[in-house]
Amino acid sequence: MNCRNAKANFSSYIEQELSEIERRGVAAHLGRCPRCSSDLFAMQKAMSLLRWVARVEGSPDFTDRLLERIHAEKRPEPAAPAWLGPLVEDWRRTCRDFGAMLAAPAPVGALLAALLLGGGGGAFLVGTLRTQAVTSPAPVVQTPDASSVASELVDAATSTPPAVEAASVTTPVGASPAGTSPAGTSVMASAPPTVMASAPSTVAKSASASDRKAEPRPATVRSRRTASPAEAEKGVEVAAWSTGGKRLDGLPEGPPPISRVEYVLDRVDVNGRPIEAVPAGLLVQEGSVTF
Amino acid sequence: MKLGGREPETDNLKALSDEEIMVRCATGSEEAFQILVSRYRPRIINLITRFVGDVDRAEDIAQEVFIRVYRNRERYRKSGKFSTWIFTIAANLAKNEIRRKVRHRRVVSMDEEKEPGTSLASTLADRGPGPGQTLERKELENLILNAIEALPERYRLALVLRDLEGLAYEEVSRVLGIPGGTVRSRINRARLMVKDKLESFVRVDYL
Repeated sequence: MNCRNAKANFSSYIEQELSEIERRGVAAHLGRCPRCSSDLFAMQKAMSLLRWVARVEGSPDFTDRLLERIHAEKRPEPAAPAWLGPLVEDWRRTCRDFGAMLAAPAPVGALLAALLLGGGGGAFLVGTLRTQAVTSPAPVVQTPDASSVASELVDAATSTPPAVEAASVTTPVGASPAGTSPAGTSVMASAPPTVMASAPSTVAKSASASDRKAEPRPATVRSRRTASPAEAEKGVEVAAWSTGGKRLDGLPEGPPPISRVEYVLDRVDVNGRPIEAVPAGLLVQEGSVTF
Repeated sequence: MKLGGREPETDNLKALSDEEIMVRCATGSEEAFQILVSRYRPRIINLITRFVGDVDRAEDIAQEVFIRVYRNRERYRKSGKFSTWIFTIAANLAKNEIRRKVRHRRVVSMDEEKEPGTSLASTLADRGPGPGQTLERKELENLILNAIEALPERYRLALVLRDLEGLAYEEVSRVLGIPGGTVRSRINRARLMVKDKLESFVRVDYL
């Protein structure tokens, strides 16, 4: 296996989705290629940093505004003042007819095009359209007005998907779907299984009020992974857990034994200065990678 | 906004799966809809924000996502996974927004145009860590956000769905409407690109 092939398999390798033959191929390459080995570590570190970014929750009145919009949609249109009644009705009829005109058969469409190209005045155009639409034998469009036609066109353009077919994953509500490693070990899909994590509970307590709004919600550990038989044969005790990208509150009592710690995530900033207060939401402080 | 729902019924609904709640929603239960909103609002807003890079605009689009869900509630089939459905709507609307921005960007003058990769970071910086946090955290967060924003669209969405929202590969495949192999390839490529962008921070030299 060359470097290019190995890199193409990095994610699958980290997430243990390769076949045994492929896995051995990548591992063998990593053993003799320090550059790729370093790249793999760097990629894993980058992946852990992605989850470090605070979640955006949105403004507190989001739901109220949404429900207000939905209620507004359900409310009937306000009635126009009596003196405006004829004008409003005339306008609605015009819009409706225009909608019918757009969907009319070719001869009517051609007439419309001719009228538009002919450059008739606005009043003339509207009057003619109404006449033609009324006499047209096939008013196809049933939309009540032109704004609805436009709305439908927008809807079509943005392509709301149809209902989705049966899903194969039957994940409980609120949980991230899980994948399965070749060894049959359940591994959370939302975090690489090879990343060891431990964070002091004091981290959360140090967060300011403004941070609490944006930081991930507390979560308990949702999966753990122990060494596969193949790994155990090599004398490697592996343990990893995932919180689905959420803060590591409520960790179980004591971490499982870690036999190999390949790297420790720097507790220094980009300038090399130590980070005094570990930011809330920092997920990974220690890492373990097993090969 | 209180919609007159009874508490016991709300409690019962909370115990149901998304799909079951959506069925209730289709029969006209506003409480059911509110529960779905509360479950998915953070994920949808976060997804769209990471993709379009503008929190305020992302909220508007997220509102539109839920409006679409409500309008189409009767078309939803219980056999389909609700999360896939709503993420598909969100992804489509977010992609539309990106295309709209691209079209708009073509007509603005060069001196008005923002530096690539600054909008998401600057937007989130406004809502980011409080004064008690270190400057380093902001810097690091900006670095990460810039790395995400610098990804080409097709890579960015796949990465956000997988690594930030925690969707399984199969679900990402359904949301984006592309084969699973393509999803894996894009995510791997995206991770490598992010790694390259964060090179100075994540590099561990074993050479």
